[in-house]
Formats: sequence, C-alpha cells, structure tokens
Amino acid sequence: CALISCWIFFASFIKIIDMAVHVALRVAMLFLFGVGVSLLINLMQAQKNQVLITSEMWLGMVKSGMWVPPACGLSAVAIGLLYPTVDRLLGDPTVAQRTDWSSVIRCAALFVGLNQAAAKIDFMSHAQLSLCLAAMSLGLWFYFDGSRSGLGLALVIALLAAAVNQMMICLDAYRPSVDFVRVRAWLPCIFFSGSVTVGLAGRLLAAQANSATSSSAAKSHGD
Amino acid sequence: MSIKRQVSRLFYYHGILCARFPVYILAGVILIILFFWYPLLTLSIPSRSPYEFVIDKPNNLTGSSVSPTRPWLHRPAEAVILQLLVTVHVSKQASVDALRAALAGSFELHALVRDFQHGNASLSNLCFTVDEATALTPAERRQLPAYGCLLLSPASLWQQEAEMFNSDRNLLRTVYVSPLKEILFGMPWRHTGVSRFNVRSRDRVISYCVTAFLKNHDQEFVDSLVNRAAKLSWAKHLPTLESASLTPTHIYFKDNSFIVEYTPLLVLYSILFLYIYFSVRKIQMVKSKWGLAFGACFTVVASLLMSVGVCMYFGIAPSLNGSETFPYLVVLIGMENVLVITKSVVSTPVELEVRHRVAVGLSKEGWTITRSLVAEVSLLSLGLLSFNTSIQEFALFAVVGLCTDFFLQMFFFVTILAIDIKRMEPLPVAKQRTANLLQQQQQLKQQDQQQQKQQSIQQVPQDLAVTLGCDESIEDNNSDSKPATAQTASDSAEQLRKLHQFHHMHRRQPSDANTAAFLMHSLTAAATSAPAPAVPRRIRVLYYLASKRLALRLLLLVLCVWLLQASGLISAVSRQLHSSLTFSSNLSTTASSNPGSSGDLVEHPDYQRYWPEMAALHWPSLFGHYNRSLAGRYVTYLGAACYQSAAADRSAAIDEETVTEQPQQEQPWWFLLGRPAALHGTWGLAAICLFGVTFVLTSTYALMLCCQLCGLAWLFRLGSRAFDRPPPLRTVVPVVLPATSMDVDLVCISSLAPADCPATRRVEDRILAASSLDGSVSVWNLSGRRLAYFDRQLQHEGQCDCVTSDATVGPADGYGKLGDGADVGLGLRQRVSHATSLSPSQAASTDSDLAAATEAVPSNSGLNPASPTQTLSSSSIWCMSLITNDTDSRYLLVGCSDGHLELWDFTCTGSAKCRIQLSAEGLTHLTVQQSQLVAVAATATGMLHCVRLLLDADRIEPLSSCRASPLPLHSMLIWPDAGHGDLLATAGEDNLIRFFSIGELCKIRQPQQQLSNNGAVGAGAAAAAAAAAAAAGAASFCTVVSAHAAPVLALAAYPSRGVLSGGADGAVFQVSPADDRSSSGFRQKRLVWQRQPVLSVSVSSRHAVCGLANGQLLLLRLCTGAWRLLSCCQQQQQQPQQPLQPLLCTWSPPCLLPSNDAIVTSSSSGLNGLDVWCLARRRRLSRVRLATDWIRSDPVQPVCLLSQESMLLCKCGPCLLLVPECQLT
Repeated sequence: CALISCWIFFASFIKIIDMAVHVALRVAMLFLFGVGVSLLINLMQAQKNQVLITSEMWLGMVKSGMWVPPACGLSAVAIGLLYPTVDRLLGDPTVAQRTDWSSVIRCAALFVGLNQAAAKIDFMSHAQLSLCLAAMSLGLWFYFDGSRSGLGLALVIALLAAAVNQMMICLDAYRPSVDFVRVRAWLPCIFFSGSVTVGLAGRLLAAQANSATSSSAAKSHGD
Repeated sequence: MSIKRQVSRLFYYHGILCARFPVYILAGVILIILFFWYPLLTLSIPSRSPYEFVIDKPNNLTGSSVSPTRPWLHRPAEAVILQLLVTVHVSKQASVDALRAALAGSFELHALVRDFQHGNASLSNLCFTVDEATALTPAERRQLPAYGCLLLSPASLWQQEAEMFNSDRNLLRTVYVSPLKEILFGMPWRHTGVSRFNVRSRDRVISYCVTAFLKNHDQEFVDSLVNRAAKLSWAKHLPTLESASLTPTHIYFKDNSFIVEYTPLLVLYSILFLYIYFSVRKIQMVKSKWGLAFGACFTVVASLLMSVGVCMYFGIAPSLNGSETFPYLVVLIGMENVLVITKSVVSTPVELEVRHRVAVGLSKEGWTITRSLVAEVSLLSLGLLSFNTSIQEFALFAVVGLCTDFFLQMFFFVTILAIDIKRMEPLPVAKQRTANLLQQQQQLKQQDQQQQKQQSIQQVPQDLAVTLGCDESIEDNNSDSKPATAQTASDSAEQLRKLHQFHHMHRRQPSDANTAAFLMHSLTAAATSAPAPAVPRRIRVLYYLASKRLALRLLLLVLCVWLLQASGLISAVSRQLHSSLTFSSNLSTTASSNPGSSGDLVEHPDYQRYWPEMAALHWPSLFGHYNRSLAGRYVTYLGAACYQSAAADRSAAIDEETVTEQPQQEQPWWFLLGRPAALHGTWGLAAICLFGVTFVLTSTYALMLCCQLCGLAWLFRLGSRAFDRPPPLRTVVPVVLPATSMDVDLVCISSLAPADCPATRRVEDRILAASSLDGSVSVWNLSGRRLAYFDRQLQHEGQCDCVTSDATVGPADGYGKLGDGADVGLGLRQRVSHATSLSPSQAASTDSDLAAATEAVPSNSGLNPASPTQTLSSSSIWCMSLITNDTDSRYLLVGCSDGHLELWDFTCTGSAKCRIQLSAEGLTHLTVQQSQLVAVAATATGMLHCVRLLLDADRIEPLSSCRASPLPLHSMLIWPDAGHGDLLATAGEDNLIRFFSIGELCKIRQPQQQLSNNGAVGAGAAAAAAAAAAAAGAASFCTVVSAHAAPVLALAAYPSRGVLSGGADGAVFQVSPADDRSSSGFRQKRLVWQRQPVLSVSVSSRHAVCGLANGQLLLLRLCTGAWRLLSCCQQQQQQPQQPLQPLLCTWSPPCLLPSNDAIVTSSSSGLNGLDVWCLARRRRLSRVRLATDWIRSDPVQPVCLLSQESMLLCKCGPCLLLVPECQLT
C-alpha cells in the first residue's frame, strides 16, 4: 500500500514537473517572441525617423527605452496565455486545431510586413495611413484567426494598450520622438495585429503542450 | 450541372492530360516561363537601392537657415542637378522615325548646355566633374561621360555624335538594350513615352531630359541657361514654369547603420525560410520528398519572376524594392495549394491508374482551389483601390503573381507530381508478367492436378492480385489459353516467388504505396494535433464572409471612401490640415495646379512626380558607377525647365483636344486610380467613378456567388459553450443479463417485423443475442429470460447438423487462450486493419507455423484449410445477425474468423443447423435482408459473399461472390427501400462508398456455384479465384461514390432515403439518389468538415450524431430535407487517452420536446456509468451511476436504444444491462 501511494505520489510529481516544464517553455517562447518583435518594430520605426540615427543615438534610444522590450515580452506572454484560456472558457477549441506552425509563421511575416508598410510607405495623410493599417490588420485577423473571441480579445487589447500609451504620454512618462499624430494613428492597429499573431502562437503552443502532456500521461499509464 | 461539378470535371480532364503527356507539358511550361522571364534581362537593378532620403525645401537658397533637425545642411551639396525637359509631340500620322526626329533635338540641346557661357562662368568650370565610370562594361562606359562634366542626355547613347545617330538603323533597339536608358533620358521609362510596340492609331508624347550636374548652385547662371535654351529654333519654353519657379530641393541620402538596415531583412528572410520549411515538410508519401519540395519552391519563385516579366511586357517596371517585397509576396501567395494538391492526389486509391489518381485528386480539390484563387484575387484587387502607389503596385504584382502561380501549379507542379507518382508505381513489365502468371495459375487450378504444387503457389497470386491491384488483368486475354503442364506450373511458381521477392526488395516501393492510406489513417487518428492543410481555413474564412455579408459591407465602405477621395474632399481636407512641408501634400497641390493651365499645347510629364524615383533609384546608382557614394550626403535638385518641340509633327495638324488627352492614354489605367486629381473635368471623373462602381459590383457579385455556392456558412455558428458545472448524478438500477465468464463482444437485436403492431407485440418478442470472446453465444428476450446458451466449440465437435466443410475444428484457442481480457479492446476495425496489414507478409510464408496461427487471428488468411498439419482453427465470432422471419423459429447467423458462415437455431435445442465455408479470410461484416432471406457477408479483404438462407431445409445456399474493393471494408449496411429495391452500401479503406443492388448482386454468374458442396481440398482458394473472376463483372452493377479523401469509417442509413458517411478525413457526406429518378447516380453533399476523423455516425428519425476521434460529438438535424449542423460538444475535456470512445447511441423519443434530444455515452469522468448529453444545449444533462450488486472495472458502453420498449441496452464486461430510459433524463 505504501509502495502504491509512493508510486502515485511520484507519478503525480512527475506529471506536475512535466506540466511546469511545458508551461515554462511556452512562457519563454512567448517572451522571446515579444522581445524580438518589439526590437524589430523599434528598428523599423527608427528607419522612419526624420533624424539621422548614428550608432550612439541608437544605443541611447535603447537605453532610454530599456523597459520597452521586456514590457512587450511580458505582454506577449500574457496575451499568449490569455488566448487559450479564453478559448477554453468559451468552449471553442477549434481554432487551435485549425492552426499549424506554417500559418503562424505566415501570420508573423505579414505582421512584420504591416509594420514595414507603416514605417516605410509614405502615405498622403494620417487618416489614410490609419485606414489602410486598420484594413490590413482586420484582414490579418480575418485570414488567420477568424474567431469571434479572437476579435474581441484583440480589440480589447489594442484599445487598452493605446489607452495606456496615451496615458503615459499625458503623464509625461516618455516623449515620442516621432511626430505624435502618426504614432497615435498606427499604434492601435499594430497592437491589434500583434495580439492576433501572439494569440495564434499562444493557442498553438497550448494545444501542443496539451497533446504532449496527454501523450506522456498515456505513456506513463501504459508503463 | 452546377458550376462546382463543371469545375471539378475540368480539373479531372486536366489531371489526365498532365499525367498523360508529362514531357510535352513540362517542355511547354518551361518555354512559357522562359518567355516571360525574358524581359527580366533588361530589368535594371540599381546598385544599392533604394536609398532612404529626406527632402528639404529651404525658403532661401543661401543655406544659412540650417535647422537643428537638418544638421547635414551644414555641408555643401554633393551636386546640384538641373534638368531641361523636352516634350515632343508625335502625331499618329508620323512615321516610325518619329523617335529619330524627337531625339535629334537632344544633340543640339546637349551641345548648347555643354558650351554655354554666362559672363565669365562656363559650364566647364561650374560643372560636377567625374572620372571614368569604372564599374561598367566598356560598351556602357562609352555612353557615360568620362574625365569631364557630368552631363547626361539621350545623345550620350551615341556619344553625342550626330553621324553615329544618323547611321543607326535601329534606334529603338539601341535605346532599349542600354541599361542606362533611364539615367540618360533623365526620367523613369514609363514617363518617356517611348514604347517598343508602336501603336500607330494614337498620338504620342515623347519626353527626355538633359541633366546637368553642377558643383554648386549659381542662380544667375541657371537662369541664363534656361532662357538661352528657350531661344533654340525648335524649342518653345512653356510659360507655366519660369526659371524662377525652379525651387531647389535638397535630397539627403541616409547613411543607415548596418543593423538598422539589414536586421528587418534578415528577420524577414529567416521567417520566410521557416515558412517554407514548415510547409514543405508536410509533403509526405511521395517518392522523392526533396524533389517535390524543390518543385514547390520553384513554382512560387518562378511565378513571382514571371509576374514581374508579365508586368514588364505591359510596360510596368517594378519600382518597389524587390528584396523587401519578395518575402511578403511569397508568404501572400503561399504554398498551400501545392500541399493540398499533393495530399489529395496521394490519398487517392493506390490501385487506380496514375493518370486517374492525379485526375481524381485534382478534381476533388479543384473547386476549392479555384474558389480560393478567385477570392484572393478579388481581395487583393481591393488593394488597387487604395490610394497609395506602393500598395497598388504591390497588389498588382501579387494578383499577377497569384495567376501565374496558379498556372504553374496546374501545369508544372501537377506534372511533376504525376511523374513522381508514376515512379512509385510498380514496373509495368512486372505487372504484365504477373498477369500472365496469374492466368496460368487459373488454368492449372481448373485442371486440378498436382495438388501439392498447386497449394504451394496458389496463395501467392491472390495476394499479389490484391497488392498490385490488377484484378482486371486476370480477365484479359483468356482467349489464347493453352493447357499448361505441371512443369510450367512449378516454373511459374518459382518466377512468382522471385517477382514477389523483387517487389519486397525494391526500396520503399510497395510499402510506401500500399501503406499510404493506412499511414494517412493512423496519422490522422493518432495525432490529434497533426498539421493539416490550410484550405479549410480559407474556406471557413469564405463561409464566414458569406454569413456576415462582411465583404459586401466592406466593399460598400471602400467604395464610399474612395468616391469621397475621388471627389477630392479628403485630399482637400488633408491639404488644409497638413499644409506643412510633407512632400505628399505638395505633390498633390502641384499636380492639381499644373494641368489646367491655359497655354499648354502638350502636357509634359510632371517632373514633381517622377523625380523621387530618379532620386531613389537612378542617381545613387549613377554615382555608384563613378565609384562615389551618396550615403550621408545630399544633392540639390533644382527642378526641370520644360520645353516643347514641334519638330516631329510638322506634317500633321495639331488637334488640340487630342493633344490634351494624350497623357491620360499614355499612362496605365491603374495609375489613374491613385491620382484622381489628375483627371480633367467631370467627364473623366464620371468615367472613373463608373468604372469603380462596376468593378466593385462585379467583384462583390463574384464573391457572393462563391459564398453562395459553398452553402456552408452555418459552420461558423457553432461556438460551443463550456459545461463546467457537473451535472446531477443519478443512480439507476439496471436489469442485468449475465452472459458468460468472458466479456461480451458482439450484441445483436432482432428487428421488429413490419407486420408487428404495438398492440399485439409482447416484450418477449424482442430477442437479444450476445457473443462473448470465447465463442459462446447467449440469447435472451427482453423480459430477461435466457432463451439459449451454446458454446460453439462444443457444438462443433458434437452435434453440428450439416458441416459442409471437412475442416476439423479443434478446441478453443486464439482469444480463448490469450484470455483475461487482453483482447477486450480489440474492436472489429482493428481486426480488419490488422488482417490486411499482415496478409502480404503472411502470404509469403505458406508454411506458417502454429505459433503464428495462435498468435494472431488474421493469420488464418494465410492458412490453407486443406493442409493436414493445420487442423486447428480458431473460429471466433466476428459478426452475427438474428433472423426473425416468423415468431416460431428463430435463427442466428454467425460469421467466423475462419471464413465460415454458421446458421444456428435456438428455439429449443440451440444447435448448429448448417455450416459452410465462404472464404479463406474471416467474415467481418454480415447483413441479412429479412424479407428475401438473403445474407451478404464481407471478408477482411473486401470480398462480398451473397448467400440465400433456406430455413426450411436448414441450408445455406451460396449465391454469388464478388470483390467489393481491393482494400478492407469498414462498414456495410442495407439501405432499405432505396429506389429500385434494397441497396447494399459498403464503405472501406479505399475511400470509396459503393452501392450494390442486392437483387443483382445475387444474380452474378458464378463459374462454380456449389463450391461449398464439392468438398474439395482448397475450396477457399477456388472461391478466391472465382471471386477474382467475378471482380470485373462487379463494376457493372455497383455504383461507386468517391466522396472522401481518406478511408470511410462509418456509414448510417437514414429514413428519408440517404446514407451518411463519415471518413478519416473528418468529413461527413450525405449521399442520396440524384434528383432525376431515371439515372442511377448519387448526389453527394458534404455536411461537416472537421479536422478529426469521424469514427461513428448514428442516425435516428430526425437526428444524426457523429463521433470524432478526439471525443467531440456533432449533432446534425434533418430539417426540410437537408441536414444542418446543430451543435458540437466536447465529450471529454482532455485529449482522449484511448483513441476510440465514439458515440454509441442516440435517440429522439417522441415524448420529449425537441430541445431534449439527448444522447448517451459511456461515462467520461471515470465513473462506472453513463453520461447523458443534451446536444441542443451542448451540455450534459445528467450523469448516471449504475447500481449493480457486483463491482466491475469495465466501462459501461451503451449499445443501442430500444425505442419502443424505452430501454437502453448497454454492455459491461460479461453482462448486458437494460436501463429504463425514463430514469436517465
């Protein structure tokens, strides 16, 4: 009896460890994704800047905005964990089943393309810029996500992030170096499409972790 | 005929074409590719392009007002650029030599500028001097000035020598072959008006520039130069642009750091490679993965290059940065179609001919591909409506790229795929030889000589026939048959063995091709998170579009916004708002102010519009040719002074109206979309608006048509809700019917005869029969009384009445010996797949030992019943059916694992009435048509055996046998009252659903009618041969429905004349008779397309429930003749541990409201009981614990609902349980 209980304890311990490892992997991947994307966007926007960016200025910008990449990473983790949770709550696990890595990568590539379009293309006006960006990011959601929960979540996140950004500017926490109207125009769209991308990745990671744990559990059961 | 069917038929023929003439098609495609690649040779790729540049328009020219944001203005400009723009009108009557006349002036102007002197300043001391252009080939180097002033004009093409120009017979060629032509003409090529294909019927305007590069800016010098040039005899200085209006513009070329410039590109390309990797690795089950992967990549890249070529043929040179847009284009175009085509073709039945495989695979996906292509093209052409030229150009290239990609996929990739699949096929020579040998074997059998030799070889041809799928070849060339001797028989047996060995030794060949379907099945069934093609996603997107009318609204919105933009409202507002120094607003104001000027005879190209392109692409590359870099420097562009020449059209009168309309005809049509302000007057605007409205309406209509044709918009309405609250737990006392010591395996229930009316029906009339794993059968009636119990092993030894096969039956083995529930979970389907996966290898060893026989039941197929060493026969029951023709005598028909069919009478004694051997393989499915007393049994290898039950004489009379499919069957049922009598529907591993008319099935002419009676040794083999002979005949009366792309796992017939089929591809099809009653065709309609294999389909009067492999349940409801997906729910929250926990029961009792439609499954929460689900509300209604007086760990599995008795029949271990339905809900 003691042996059995010991075995059960051991098995559950192993299972917990296994799950913890999976969750940690997911978190790490999402964090890295967020950090990478934020750095990339920074780079692209730096290209757009009217000021010449020398290497010192580049370093300085990173220094002054040192908090931005980790913040982006953390929010990516949050979003990536939030999406599967919301899916589970709403009972719509089909999105993750329809997703695979190639479509996640496609989505990420188009997200980068969105950023590049925002950064490089000269639009006639800010209204046009934001209109085009909004259409493109909606298209991104439509093509890759397509679920109502995803749309709602992305909208909420975009609005929230834009509001936080606005508040920080109002509180003079930081000063955007680029002209401000432009930032305000594209920021929610970028947040929207970013959250769609991260959510897609998070869903897929969650699904894979699920299947991995269940298969390992099945294996231990078989043993 | 619907569009869908037409499209898939087109694809079918296309597939056949591609597979038939692969070489010609490949050659043709490569020729076409090369033809479209040809213009790329003239594509000038600027050295380091484009530079990011900053534009500054200073108020005064002294350079004193250096703003802090422009620190680079402290330094002097690298060069000051002045352009003299000459516009030449060429009337439509002018000859081809109009270009010569137009360019002749450039020599004069070039010389004038070169030698111009103003006061003591001459160009030679003001100009920007250069060395030799070392970075070019000598021929190109001659066209650029060396060791002197940098002064460019078209005259430089002929080294400013008029004699050379005059003696040049082919000016156009000289101009076109020069890669420097845009630099020398001083403007982007599309603005010059020089076209290679001269359309005579139009007037044209040819423009060029003389570009002077100065060291520094001397306003006085420039003014006098501009005025002097106007005094040329042919030149007329246009009054709108005085020299004073030449506002200098500083163009600063950024010196971006390496990281900033290349990191996004690097990331982008790594993402692209990841995408390609993840896509390409989905190509499976082909001969050469690498080859096909390369083909897929080549398709995409070649199509993009082709799109550039096509655009260049139409005169559009790409102005976007190719290296940056390329990954996006690849990602946007995608490789999904290629993967879908590969998967579809690979999953077609292996025994088909190659071209038919390709054709069937293409036609299955053809409609999907076409639809998504149309949708993508129309969505992307929306991008043409955007107001940004870069986005427009990107969208244009993407659209053209999509079309060329489609072309290449259809002609290039499909051909490659066909070649690849052809390589996977067995050698045709080997095929032919096998056929010949088989024929010899057949003749030998008829002679019935030399039995020993015969036995040793006759198993082989049968299996080879199955393996190679050449059943039909047996029928061929029977005419020239000669009696063969024993010697040839042994020879041919030897040859056959060698052939067999060859097939097995050949690398990957037989295993790959033959296990493709199995692999597919197991892959999809096992790995629930396995990647699958993205086509469903696209279709879903489309469905969603349809359901929400989103596209319509979006298009309307876009139209409104665009019209607003066209009316100039937005630009006016934005001009008001941002009248600062943004370049774009300046551009629009100049563009709108320019054209209306009164004095213009000819509208010159607007230099404000083209110079950014020159600055981005050509000037940096020009400086690069001289080994200078503009990075971190700036140049000052003074603008262009415009002149008009009348040189070329002296002969023709100038019609003013045509002249003013020239530039619009000159420019490509989409260019107008971006700049509505460039149009004159209301007529142009109205025309453009009309065009826009027509375009939008057409594309909307096309999109709506697409969505309507899919008709599956409801797919998205399923958003299931969570059901976290545990439902109430009930305890129910069931009626227990104890069976035997072993677990219950099969259960069958007598159906109610149609004559039975509820009033006279008694509970005792319904009979239950249950077989257990040890081969014993128990029979009860519903009141719980056991009617009979018989152990078949004992019966076989003693009291079998008419055993027509002389095979001695030994004691129980197989399952009985394995015992202890080790094989409890071995369901029928596993048996079938097990049997087929083993049979080829088993066939090779005819002398299989006893251990193998007891190890695996399916090895019986390899046994020879006549072999004296193998008398042991483990005859487990694999299928059974109750016959209740009249109430007095009850019969049970049992199909065994050794191919025997047994008829049992259990009224009084419970004795075996008759026992015949139908085949060498086990019987997996058995159905009985009660009215005509005809039974059809299916074997593990797809043979159908039709027998008549002569109950009075206690005999079974074999009627016919035929091959239903070369692969095992998964499901078989009788579809009552379908059109012309009962139909037999089979579904199997070969992805096909077949319908047989039972009446005609019985009438198949059979060479050896009484094969059970001759009692000869080798009866099984003879039956197999006869069946093979009848295989060709089977095609004539069987209707094949090819709906699924994967093995069909489940069939269910529903009352209003139709069959639902569920397949491993996750689709559920409704197969019903075609509308026109005369034809025997079937209409198929896809109801559900999930990612999970559909393991079970069950049907009640109005509902159907599908169980998926991941434990999901889908409820379909029949409303007004069509099935609608009502809901889906997750049976188990976690991923299922066991692959198979499908739905087992459904009912819709009349006493309940429709909202209470419920199903019962075995408990998902580990409870020893049942779950009751309300599918309409997507949650569990209750959990039911079965209170019994014994404890078993076996799960309770519902079997079926006896609707008229209101009882639910379950099985649990060795017992049957009857649960009253009223206690469940």
